[in-house]
Amino acid sequence: MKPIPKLHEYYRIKMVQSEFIIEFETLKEMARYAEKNSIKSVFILTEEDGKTESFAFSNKGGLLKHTTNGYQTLEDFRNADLNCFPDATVYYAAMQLGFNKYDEYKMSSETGITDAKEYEEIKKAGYIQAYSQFDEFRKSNAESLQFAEIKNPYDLKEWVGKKKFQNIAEFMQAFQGGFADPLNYRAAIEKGYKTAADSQKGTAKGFLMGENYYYAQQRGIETFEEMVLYNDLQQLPLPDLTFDQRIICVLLSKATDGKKTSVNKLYEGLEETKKIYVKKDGTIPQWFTMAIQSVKDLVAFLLQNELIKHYGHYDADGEFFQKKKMQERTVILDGSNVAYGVTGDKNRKPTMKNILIMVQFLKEKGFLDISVYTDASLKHRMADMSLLPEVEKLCKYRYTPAEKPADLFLLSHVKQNHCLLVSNDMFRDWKLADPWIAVNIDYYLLKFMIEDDKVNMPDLV
Amino acid sequence: MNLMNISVSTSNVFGAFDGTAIRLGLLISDVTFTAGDLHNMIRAAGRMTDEKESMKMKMAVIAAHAESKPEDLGITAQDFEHIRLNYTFLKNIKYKTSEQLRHYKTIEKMISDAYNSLNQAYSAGLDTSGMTQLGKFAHKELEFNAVHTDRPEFRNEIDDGYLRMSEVLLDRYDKATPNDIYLVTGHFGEYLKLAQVEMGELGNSTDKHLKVLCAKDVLTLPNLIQLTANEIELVREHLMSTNQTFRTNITNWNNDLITTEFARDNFKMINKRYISDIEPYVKMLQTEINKNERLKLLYANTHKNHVFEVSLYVTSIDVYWSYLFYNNSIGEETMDALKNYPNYEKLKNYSCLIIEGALITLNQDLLEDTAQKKNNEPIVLTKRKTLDF
Repeated sequence: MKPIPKLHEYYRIKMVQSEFIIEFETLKEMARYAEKNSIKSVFILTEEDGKTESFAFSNKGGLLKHTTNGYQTLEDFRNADLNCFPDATVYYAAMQLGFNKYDEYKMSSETGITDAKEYEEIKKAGYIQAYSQFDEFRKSNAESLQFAEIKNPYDLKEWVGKKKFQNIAEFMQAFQGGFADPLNYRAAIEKGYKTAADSQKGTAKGFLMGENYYYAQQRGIETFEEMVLYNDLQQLPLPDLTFDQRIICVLLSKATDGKKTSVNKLYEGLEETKKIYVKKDGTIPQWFTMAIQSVKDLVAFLLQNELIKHYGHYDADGEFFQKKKMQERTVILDGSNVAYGVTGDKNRKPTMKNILIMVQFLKEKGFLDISVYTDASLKHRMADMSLLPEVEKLCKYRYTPAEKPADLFLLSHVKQNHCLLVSNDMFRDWKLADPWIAVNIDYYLLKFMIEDDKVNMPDLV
Repeated sequence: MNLMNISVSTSNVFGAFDGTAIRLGLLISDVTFTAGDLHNMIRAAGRMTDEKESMKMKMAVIAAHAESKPEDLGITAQDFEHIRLNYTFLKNIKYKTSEQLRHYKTIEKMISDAYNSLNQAYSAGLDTSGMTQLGKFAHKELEFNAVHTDRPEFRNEIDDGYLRMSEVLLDRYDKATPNDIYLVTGHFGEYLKLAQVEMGELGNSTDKHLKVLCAKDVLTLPNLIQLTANEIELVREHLMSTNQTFRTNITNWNNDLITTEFARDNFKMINKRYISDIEPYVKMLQTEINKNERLKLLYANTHKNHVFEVSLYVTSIDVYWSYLFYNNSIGEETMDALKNYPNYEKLKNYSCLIIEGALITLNQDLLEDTAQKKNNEPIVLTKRKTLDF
């Protein structure tokens, strides 16, 4: 708001002798009258007590006056009035510090800021507005951080600086999320946590990533370790099976191919495996769905479920499960590994011929579902790519997705489908990285040697 | 406490090892310095968007790369030299014909494109090795020493701000303070084994033949490579506020070691000092590390079979220089420059303190259960593991 321009000239006078004196009820009324009637000259008169001063002007034969109330001019009074100053003393004190508005002056006197420029900077940086949002938020959210020591925008600015927040916006986001300091806030947000409470709960339960924590929350999973167990079973392509039924499938995929297993032994295997899912308090997690409470339930599952036929068949009379032969399973080839034939020989070059020999060998042994997976770059390293059509006649030949390492693709494929994998790779780094691979991959690996164009595979002698 | 990491990374192996060691430095020391090829890579990546980068520098980078890895750019060093000469010739023509100008611009664009392509590859590598996250600390908690080799042809080619590697290594003997403690990767311990350097236990051994005194695995942390910049700050705040005495003591000890000859006569004193001033505070630091929530979380969420072991070594400076030479962190030219230093004979026996951060694999069993053998050993084939009920 622009200050009132100068409207009057002031003259200090000694005395007044007039019978026609009109006194205004308020200074505001006097100022209004003076402005309305375009009064040019205003007198300043010291009253008889020698202390009180009044503004006065003559108009239409009379003398109109009112005490100055401490103001030096009527314009000052108008400015003070418009900007809500309570009195002249406060008005002139504020003016001296460069404040034009009473609320700003009041705020500054409460915060100890005596410099209007500094106040302006705080305002420009958004602290005045942010403080009201901050104050409103903490008042309306009794459970939020209260920061009782922050009593005004200046305190807020000091706090943001002291705690090393980048700016007020970062502080507000952190505060509304319940974070008291920037380091914890940044680390938590970066990891996908939404609030400090979530971050605390999640990290206490071993969840580094917020995404995993929320995922687990939605599924009633309590800890990170539990989530790993859940995912191992959940990702199996057996959507209609309960988790204990899935365990049966996993056990069967690891069992010796072609062998008979008694239903009682299989049930014992299930009960033993279930122990790793038991929580510290002795209960099974709520997400662990179950349908097999007895041998009878297991028999019903083995007899009636269509998916189980993928692994073999149950003989009700003999009370055993006969697993299918190895040749009836899906087998995938680690193309790069097979192409080199013997991994120990550094000088050996990869050949398509080795892949062809291996595929022919598997075909001869009775395998029907054979796939070869290689990374795209292998074709540049093999001189005999002309043999590819011959390989493609016998099996599926696929390139692994470019965005991930071929090993990761192969291992994920085995993890999800429990198929066999022909490879001599030790998968050392993957075993170190993924406990599932460390514990399980050897149940699915078929090792081999190719020498003099002949395959030696101990599992298929 | 200042640490100095001279990277072992080469252009082939982006700095995962150094990236982890530097993270250790950021967690426990006031300032970590890094110098070497890794530094050059970071600088190069940082210059990617810098349009003002001189053509001279761009050409120097391409020439060096064309010499070491011509297949990356599909150009040999000789071919590039021909291009460089053409460019310089055209540049020096004051009044170019339109044909010359077109040709000049074409070469200029080709050089810039090749340079940008190299930088992008560097950046991708730096990201993989966890180096990109360290940029946040640059010129604050992490300082870079711009270095180049002592090769004569490089001396006039590179910016004035660069130091020769020999200058970086000898700097500690020309200044009173601060003196850096060397920060190394697990390559150091491997080098000592390969070179069969005789090693004794720090705090205990006094055998006169010893070339190294070592306190093995004094600190254990999770694999730090995945720590982001924000997490480093968070952990650093905790550890810095609780290891002040350790930092002071180790700094003082290092300052004294720099002028102490690494010889049997001094072993007793070195051991005594370690036991009284360092060992108790290292244990306290380990306690704080164990308490740290973020590090605990890393243990739970990263490779549980990997831990990061920190060891302390006291040895003579020539053992350290030999290690750098062995790992190609310094070349023959730098070794020659070091040997030509006036006080070399005296300096080479001075002690230095080395902190090693090595990634250790805990579960060796996992690595042994395999049919694959190294080198040309015969393969032992095994049958598939099966479950028997």
